[in-house]
Amino acid sequence: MNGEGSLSELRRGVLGPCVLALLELRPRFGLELVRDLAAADGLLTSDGTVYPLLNRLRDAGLVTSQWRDDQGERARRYYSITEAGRHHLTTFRADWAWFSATVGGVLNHTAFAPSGTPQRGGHQ
Amino acid sequence: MSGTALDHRLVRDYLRELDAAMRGLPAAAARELREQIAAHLEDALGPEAGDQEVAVTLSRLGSPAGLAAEAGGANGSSGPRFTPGRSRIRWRLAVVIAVPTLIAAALGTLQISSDASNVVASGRVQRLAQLDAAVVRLTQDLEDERDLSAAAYAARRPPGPVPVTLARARTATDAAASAVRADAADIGAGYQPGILQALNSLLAGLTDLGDIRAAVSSAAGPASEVIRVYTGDVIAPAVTFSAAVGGGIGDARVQDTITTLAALLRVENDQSLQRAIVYAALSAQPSVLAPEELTTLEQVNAQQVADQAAFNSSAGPAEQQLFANTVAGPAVDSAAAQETLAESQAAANPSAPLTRNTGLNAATWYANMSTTIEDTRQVAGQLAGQLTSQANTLKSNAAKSLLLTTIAALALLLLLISAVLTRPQRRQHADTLAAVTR
Repeated sequence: MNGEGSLSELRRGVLGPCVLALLELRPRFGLELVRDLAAADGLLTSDGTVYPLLNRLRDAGLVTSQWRDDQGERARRYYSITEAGRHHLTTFRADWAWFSATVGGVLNHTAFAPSGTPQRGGHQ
Repeated sequence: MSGTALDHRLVRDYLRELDAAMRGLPAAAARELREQIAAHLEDALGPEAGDQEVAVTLSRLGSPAGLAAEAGGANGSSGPRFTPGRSRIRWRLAVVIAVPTLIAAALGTLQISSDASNVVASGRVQRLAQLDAAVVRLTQDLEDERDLSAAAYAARRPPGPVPVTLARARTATDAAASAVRADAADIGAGYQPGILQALNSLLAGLTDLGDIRAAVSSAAGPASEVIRVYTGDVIAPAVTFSAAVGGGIGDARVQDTITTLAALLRVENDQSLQRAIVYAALSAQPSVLAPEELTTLEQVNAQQVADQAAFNSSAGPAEQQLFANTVAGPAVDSAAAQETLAESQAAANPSAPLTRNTGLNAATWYANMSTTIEDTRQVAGQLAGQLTSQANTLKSNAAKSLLLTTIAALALLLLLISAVLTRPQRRQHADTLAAVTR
C-alpha cells in the first residue's frame, strides 16, 4: 500500500465523524460543508464524495436535511445532526482518542512501556 | 448567456456523464445525488464562471464514475456494495439460522412425541404389571378353592354348610377377584387386542363362580367334574391372561419377568391339580383313585415337567436358584413321596382303598402338598414384586426422559429464537458503523 492509498483509507474512516462534528455546531448546506471540510488540510480528496457520504449518514439516521430559503435566494438543502448522530459522535470521539493513542504508541514504539499504554475510555 | 452555471457546457457534460454513471443506482438515489451535485455547482459557480474556474470546480468534485461508485451503484471499485451485500448476508443468515431451527424443531418434536408415547406405553406396562400381580393372587386363591371344592364334592356330604376351610377360601377368592376387577377397570383402548380378549374371558369366567359354588354346595359327584369346571372356566383364563400380558410389553426385562412368572404360575397350577386329585381321592369313601383320575394325574405330572422346563428356560440363574432353595424341605419331599406311593397303589389295584396300610391320609397329604404350593407361591410373589418394581422404574425413567427432552428442546428453541431476534439488531448496528466510517 502506498502512502496515498493508506491516507485515502484513513480519510474514508474519519470523514463521517468529521461531518457530524461540523453539523454538531450548526446546520450547513452542501457547499458550506464541503468548504469547511476542505479547509481542514488533506481531509477531502474530492469534493463530490461528501454527498454520497451525507446520504449514507441520513440513511443511518445520524443526519437529517430540510429545505430552507436563504433571504430571497433559491432554496437550499440544509443538513443537521440528529440525536443519534450526537450519540454516535460522542462514542467516536472516545474511540478515536483511544485508537489514535494506541496506534501512536505502537508506531512510536512506546506502547510496550510498563505504564505507557493508554486505556480505553470509559464511554461504555 | 442568462441562467445558471448549470447551463455551462462543461457542467452539462459533467452532469450527463454522471447520469450515465449512475444508471446502476436506484432512481431515487441517482436523482438525489444529481440534485446535490447540481446545487453544489450552482452554489460554487456564478452564472458567469469561466471555463477554467468551472474546470477546477469539476475536477475538485471528482470524476462522475468515482462519485457514482461512492454512491454505491456503478461498476467502480471503491467501497463495498452496501445494499446487495447486506441482503445477501441477511439471506445467508436466515438460512444459517432457519435450517438448524427447523431441524432442531423437527427432531425435538419427534423426540418429545416418542418420549411421550414411551410414557404412555410405560404407564400401560405399569398397569398391566399391577393387574398381572392381582391375577396371580386370584389364581392362587382359585386353586385353593377348587381343590377344597373338589374334595367336598367328592366326599358326598349331606347338603349343608360347606367346610370352614372352603368358606375361607371362597372369601379369599372374592377379595382377590374384586382387586382384579378394580385393576381391570383401567385397561381398555390402547392395549393389545390379545390382552383385552384374555382379560374379558377371565372376567366372564369369574361371573360363573356363583353357579359353580352353588353346585358344589348342593350336590355331590366326582372330583374331576369340579376340577374341570373350575380349571376351564376361571383358572385357565387367568393363566392365559398372565401369559398374554407379556406379549404387550416392549421392554425385554419386564417381558422376561412376565414370561417367567407365567411359567411358574402354570407349575403351581399343576401342583395344585395334583393336590386336588389326590386329596379328593383320599377324602372319598372308599378312598380310591379311579383309573381315569390316575390318567389325569399322570398327565398333570407330565405337564408339570414341561412347565418346569419352560420356567427354567425363561428364568435367570438367580431365579432358578431361588426356586430350588425355596421349594424344598421335608414337607416337599414327603408330598412327592406320598404322590408316588398313591400312584403306584392305584396302578396296582384301582379298587383298593389308598389309605389302607399305606400311611396315606387326606389331611397329611393336603398339608404337605400345600407347603409345596406355598413355597412355589413365595417364588411367584418375589417375581411379581420384581415385575412391579421393573414396571415402576420403566415408567419413572420414561417420565424423566420426557421432562429432560422437553426442557432441552425448549432451551434450544429459545436460544435459536433469541439468536434470530438479536442478530439483525447487531447487524443493524454494524450497518450504522459501516455507513459512518466508510
